[in-house]
Amino acid sequence: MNWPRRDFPILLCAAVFSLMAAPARAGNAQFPTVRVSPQRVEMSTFYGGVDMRIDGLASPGSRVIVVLRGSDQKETFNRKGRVGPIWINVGKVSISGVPSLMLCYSPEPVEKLLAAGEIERYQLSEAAIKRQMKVSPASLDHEDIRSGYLALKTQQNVYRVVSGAVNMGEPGAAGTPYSVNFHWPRRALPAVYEIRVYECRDRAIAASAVVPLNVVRAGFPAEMQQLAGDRAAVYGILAVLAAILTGFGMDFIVSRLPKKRGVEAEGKASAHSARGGAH
Amino acid sequence: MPIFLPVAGISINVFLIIGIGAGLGFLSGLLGVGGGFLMTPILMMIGVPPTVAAASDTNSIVATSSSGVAAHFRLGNVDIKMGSILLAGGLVGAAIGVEVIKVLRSLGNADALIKLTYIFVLGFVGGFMFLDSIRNLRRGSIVVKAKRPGKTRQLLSRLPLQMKFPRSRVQHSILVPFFLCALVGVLAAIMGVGGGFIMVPMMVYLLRMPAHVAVGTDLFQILFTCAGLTYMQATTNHTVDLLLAVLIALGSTLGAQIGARVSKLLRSEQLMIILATLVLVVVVRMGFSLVLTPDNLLEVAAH
Repeated sequence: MNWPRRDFPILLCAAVFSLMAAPARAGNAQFPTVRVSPQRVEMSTFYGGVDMRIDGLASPGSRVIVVLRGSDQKETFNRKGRVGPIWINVGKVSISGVPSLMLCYSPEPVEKLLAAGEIERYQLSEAAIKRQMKVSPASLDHEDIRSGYLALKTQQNVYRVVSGAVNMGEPGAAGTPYSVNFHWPRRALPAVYEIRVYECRDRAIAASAVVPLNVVRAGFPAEMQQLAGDRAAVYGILAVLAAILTGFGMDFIVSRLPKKRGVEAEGKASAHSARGGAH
Repeated sequence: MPIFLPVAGISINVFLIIGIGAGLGFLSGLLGVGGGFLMTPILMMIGVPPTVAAASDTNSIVATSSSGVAAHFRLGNVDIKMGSILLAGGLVGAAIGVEVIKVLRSLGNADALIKLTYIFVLGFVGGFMFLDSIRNLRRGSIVVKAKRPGKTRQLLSRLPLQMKFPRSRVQHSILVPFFLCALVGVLAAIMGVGGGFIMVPMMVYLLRMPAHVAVGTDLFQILFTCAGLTYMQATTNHTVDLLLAVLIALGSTLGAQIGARVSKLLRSEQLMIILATLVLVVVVRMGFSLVLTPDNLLEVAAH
């Protein structure tokens, strides 16, 4: 491209101005900040979910939506269908294009904060997830299949859209503080999840920040899982022996318990009658 | 109190698992059924992945049946000789059943056939047991009448390899329990259950064994079958959750002990009525689930 020589000073000024303005924009881009507590979820022996807190600062005048999301995964289900008068499993159906977990927290209903297009683009409602779901085979792509998937996920407590959960503080010189407290679902599987904080302004997403959340096995569960995977034969024998020992051990304990005399006598009489009756 | 299951990868209330185990263990000790067909769906319902639920359930049945066998052994209710023949027959039948299932699946719509087989077989067994037990209860004494041998029994008594089973107080050709149990094994494999529901009535009505000995002997063969299955699941699919199995086992072994004691307080007819009622309840529930429109057309796949 050939620039006219008379425009060169103007272009140079524009470039210098841009360079000067860049740090200012970068300063704004620091919002939203995100602080997660705890930063890592450890699933040890007595793990039962975790109370979590996500907080930080957002640009003045903005509202914040906090979303925790699992990676997209393909899941296969049995599909029930009617054959004559009965309902049976008539095949498999695979669902993909949707997150394995989606917890969405906002200070007010997402529809009030964002335009429909933004909700759709960022998958910030169950309806949006339902629309973006991919069903395979395509011949089974019906509304009841999509709704069924969402119902299953909601039932498992891994899909949740909660309005009013994010507290927005008074705007200060450093920014507007926000926070959300929630219980990490104990049904969520070990994986790396994504925490996304969206800043909403003028019914659009103005900025966002992402931090990963590692959910890992720790201690005894981690060792057992490793044994089950790496030394399966040893684990198999151990499983059988542990079961037999538990069975015989419980029998040993229970057999040492005192017995009621009346019950014993009645039992013997009953057993005798049954044995006698058989012949 | 929550506990994290290492292989299942989820956290569950420990008392819930022990409680479920205790309830089903009670049935196992009382009636000699493994309870596997009830435990797996219940575990899936509380969030355990289907493959882990099925494999860990098998592992827990090893514990339940060990405990049940020990208790019944002390009471003189385990016929090891008969149990070994039944075990061999059951394993052969199960192997045949697995092949039958493969053929059915390749023909398509095997699920319908499996469910209908389930309803038909359990409905027949449950109905027959129920009516027979009521009739015997009204007569006031026995579970199996000492009839004069009919033509079939005379024919069976002429078969080779006759053997006395003193513990069961019967005499049969080895071929009779072997083939009967092989048939049960085929049905159990097709229906995807352990077979206790069919095995106990088969021992009582066809092999003429006393109900208490039938229950103890059935648990004996279940112990070996499930131990083998647990090892295979652990080595091939890595789906056995030892912690889950031990927790279920703690509940179920306790329940099985109580069940075995209560079984001694009941007459054989009463035991058979309870088992028959349980079978019929399952059949009716399954019948309803087949005809009523389901809430959700999707179901978590077991495999």
